[in-house]
Amino acid sequence: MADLQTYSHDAGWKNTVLRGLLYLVLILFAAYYLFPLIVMISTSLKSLDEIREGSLISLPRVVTFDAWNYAWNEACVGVECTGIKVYFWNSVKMAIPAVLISTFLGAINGYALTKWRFKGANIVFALLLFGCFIPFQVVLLPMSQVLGKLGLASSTPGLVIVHVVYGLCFTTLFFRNYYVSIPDELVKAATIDGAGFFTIFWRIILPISTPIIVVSVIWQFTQIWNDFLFGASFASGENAPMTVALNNIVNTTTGVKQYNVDMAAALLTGLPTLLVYVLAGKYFVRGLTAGSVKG
Amino acid sequence: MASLTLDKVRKAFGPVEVLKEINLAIEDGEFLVLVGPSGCGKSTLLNLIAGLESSTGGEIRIGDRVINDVHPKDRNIAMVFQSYALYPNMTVRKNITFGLEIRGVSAQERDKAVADVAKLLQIEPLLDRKPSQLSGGQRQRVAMGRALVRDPDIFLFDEPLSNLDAKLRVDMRTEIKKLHQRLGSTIVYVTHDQIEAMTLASRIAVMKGGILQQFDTPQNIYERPNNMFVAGFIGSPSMNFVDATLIDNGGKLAVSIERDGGPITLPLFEAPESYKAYVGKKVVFGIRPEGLTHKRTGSDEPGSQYVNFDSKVEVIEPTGADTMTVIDIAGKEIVARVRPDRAPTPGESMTFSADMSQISLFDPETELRI
Amino acid sequence: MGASQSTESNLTARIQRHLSKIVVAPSFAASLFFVYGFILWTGYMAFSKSRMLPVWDWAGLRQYERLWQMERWHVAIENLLVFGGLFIVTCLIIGCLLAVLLDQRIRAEGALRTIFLYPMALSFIVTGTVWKWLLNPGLGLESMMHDFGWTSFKFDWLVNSDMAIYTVVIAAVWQASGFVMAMFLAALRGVDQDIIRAAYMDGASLPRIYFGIIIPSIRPVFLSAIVVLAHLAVKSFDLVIALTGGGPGYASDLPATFMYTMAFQRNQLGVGAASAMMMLATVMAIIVPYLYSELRGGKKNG
Repeated sequence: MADLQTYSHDAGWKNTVLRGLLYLVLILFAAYYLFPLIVMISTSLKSLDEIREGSLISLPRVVTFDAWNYAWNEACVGVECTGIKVYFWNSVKMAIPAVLISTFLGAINGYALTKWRFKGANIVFALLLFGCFIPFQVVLLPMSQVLGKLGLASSTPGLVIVHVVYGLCFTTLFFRNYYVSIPDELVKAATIDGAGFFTIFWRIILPISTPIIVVSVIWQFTQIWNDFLFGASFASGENAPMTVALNNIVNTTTGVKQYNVDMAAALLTGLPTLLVYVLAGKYFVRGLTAGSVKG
Repeated sequence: MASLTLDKVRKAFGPVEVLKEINLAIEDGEFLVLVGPSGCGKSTLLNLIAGLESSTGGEIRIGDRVINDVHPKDRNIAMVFQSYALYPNMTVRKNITFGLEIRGVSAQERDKAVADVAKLLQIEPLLDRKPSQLSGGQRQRVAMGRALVRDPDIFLFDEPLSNLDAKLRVDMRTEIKKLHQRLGSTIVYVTHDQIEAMTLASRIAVMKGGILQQFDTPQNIYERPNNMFVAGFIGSPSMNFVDATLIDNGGKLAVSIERDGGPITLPLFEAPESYKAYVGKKVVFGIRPEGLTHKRTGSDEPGSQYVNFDSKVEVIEPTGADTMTVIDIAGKEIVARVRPDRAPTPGESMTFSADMSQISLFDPETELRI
Repeated sequence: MGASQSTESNLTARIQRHLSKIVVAPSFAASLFFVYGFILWTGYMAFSKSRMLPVWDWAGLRQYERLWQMERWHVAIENLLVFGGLFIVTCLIIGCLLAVLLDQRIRAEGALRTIFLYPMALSFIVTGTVWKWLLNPGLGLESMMHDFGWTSFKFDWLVNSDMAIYTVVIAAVWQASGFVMAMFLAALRGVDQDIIRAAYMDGASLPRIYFGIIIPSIRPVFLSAIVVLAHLAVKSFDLVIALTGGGPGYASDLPATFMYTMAFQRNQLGVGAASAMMMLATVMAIIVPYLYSELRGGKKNG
């Protein structure tokens, strides 16, 4: 930390002015980041008339949850007008298995690659890791064909498979980096004690993996819940995830534009991940920086 | 308890030969220490005995049983690791009984085993704690408890004291020695600390570069090192080596060391047959610091094992019990051990006595003992 | 302990030795098929005559030629360069600035960090939706400024062909700059304090310390951030769809949206595949040298 207080050569009052400026700038930026969220919430609580008459930042004179109710229960996605709640549950049905499976596979892969190294393990890891970086556009066409052939087109299981396959590289990376720093001697001692590959995993390694399991789950949940590309490509229609439904609601050009409904729907879509972030934010950050600051 | 035999054991990682034909045999109840610098292969050898790695050649036998292909859990061995390797998520009690549980030992027997071992190692109050709540020394004892409870044929220790601070290390060393005396177990112990090796072992195996340098009792290794490496590795401060020539000094063999102002001649006290071949040739003269002292009484008498010579003193290093005195002979710094009250001042010249019954001569090329 | 027990543990040992490989194999196979296999598949499609349905007749570089002849593709590429460039530079500046400011032992640091980072937790669709509303020509910022008295303020970028892509920049920067800030903050906190103290005692002013010592010493993080941001930029699809839909027309198209339109809406599988391969090549051109230098550097240091 190279901060003003410790390292400044200036006199007292100059420092105070600078610090005041510092806080001002930070507050301005905070306003910039919070502004859209506030507008989103406020707009969703207004009636359409108020939106037209009022200004962007005016708080609702009459707070009404009509837009929320409409978004949840009656909004039209395509030809169905049953609200976004159907798609909320689609996302849930899709995200939970995908997160759990990809996390589990990542854990056991990381464990195998670091504690039971075999020849070529590094190459396997490198190839796996490389898959994290590809633009997914390059797998869309083949994947839709494969899913079609398997009869899984536009289905939730199909989407789960897609997310598991392309989430594996991240989860394996997380767990592998975490397990590298667990001493090998732990496994040796357990081997001599008579424990085998899986026993050691269940009884010794997994119990001490809680931090990275949390990171992996949060990261995967955020990625999968927020995904649009795979949802739009492989599950449009009745099994679409919430993000696809949201886009549909917002971008349909029929009838009057209901901005408050749009905002409500957006908030509903964003709330799960936002909540996870607020409650477990520091693990989220750890997950974000784990992959990019190479370790 | 059982004996351990290593017969022509080799280990290679790809093209790199880490262990080259190791032959060792210890009896039931012996305390074998494998000692050597980092990379000498001692830990690899221990892993081979444990079964954590497989050998590239040779046979390993416990008792009469060839165990080369036997899984570690069936070898009836127990291992204590440098970092203790206690299971972090289990209590001390669980840590100790984990192995027994895997083998299907009944709960009653497990409880009894833990109680016995806890009593022996005085860790009874710790049984319900987790490893993170223990001090280094306590963890070490729990690790030993985990090994003891299996009642194995052989105990393996992989540098168990390296992670402890100096005082604790000395205390634990004594405890391990007491345990060995009490239980009479066969132990294979790896360390890079030659003091541990000397104090604990019934026999020491000195290793370097994957080759067994010498395998003998501590005292023999100390007094009769096979080569310059062993001579320099064992003993602290280490043995002094000086280039010299073996000469015939009027019928008696002596060592002649070059020096400004004329060579020092040190007549040998004993002269085995092997020396005769080196008369007139260059040798390496080895003498331990405790063999070079202040002038001894009786050193002027004929037939004395002590030979005197004078030298200027460069540096003195008082250690309390002795004062290490550094003298310069022919460009080499030699360390002598002098009694504090006879300690010289740097820059002064003093008479030293060399105990010629405690010397070693080495061939300068092969570095082997003559 | 007889021979039978020996062979039994022999077999178990062998299975155990291979168990590790067996466990990793499904993931590895999946990666081989779903990543590398699919890349080859798409690559082949780009060399085929596919239009509405995949066809396996060889067409050489025909699809690539058609791709590069399309004005829409050129617009997409240009947009990517403009968007990518602005996005990366702006995020770096804001991220770095915020990190330096937050490094100053601020009282509400935790809260501020949460505020700066939360956009990253949102889906790009949500971000696009809200910014679409904020930048709404009639009812968004423009009208707000009018209410404030700035009646000549005009903000119709969203429907302006020339400016539409810049709206994407605004929204993307809002989403991602917090992440860059987090990266830089972590790096700043890892700088060796002794160097700073030495410079201070030498009389260096605080800006001098920052620009002369600290920022140069976190150069690797700049590189990491650029790579991550570049990667994000190339993949940008969700945001464009939600914010502008690629419009007006295709004025704010990016390669990602181009590919999707061609492949799934225009029955031009071959061209879509070709554009996907071009995207892959671009990403590889950034990632591969970076990974290579990281690994090499790692080996040198370690």
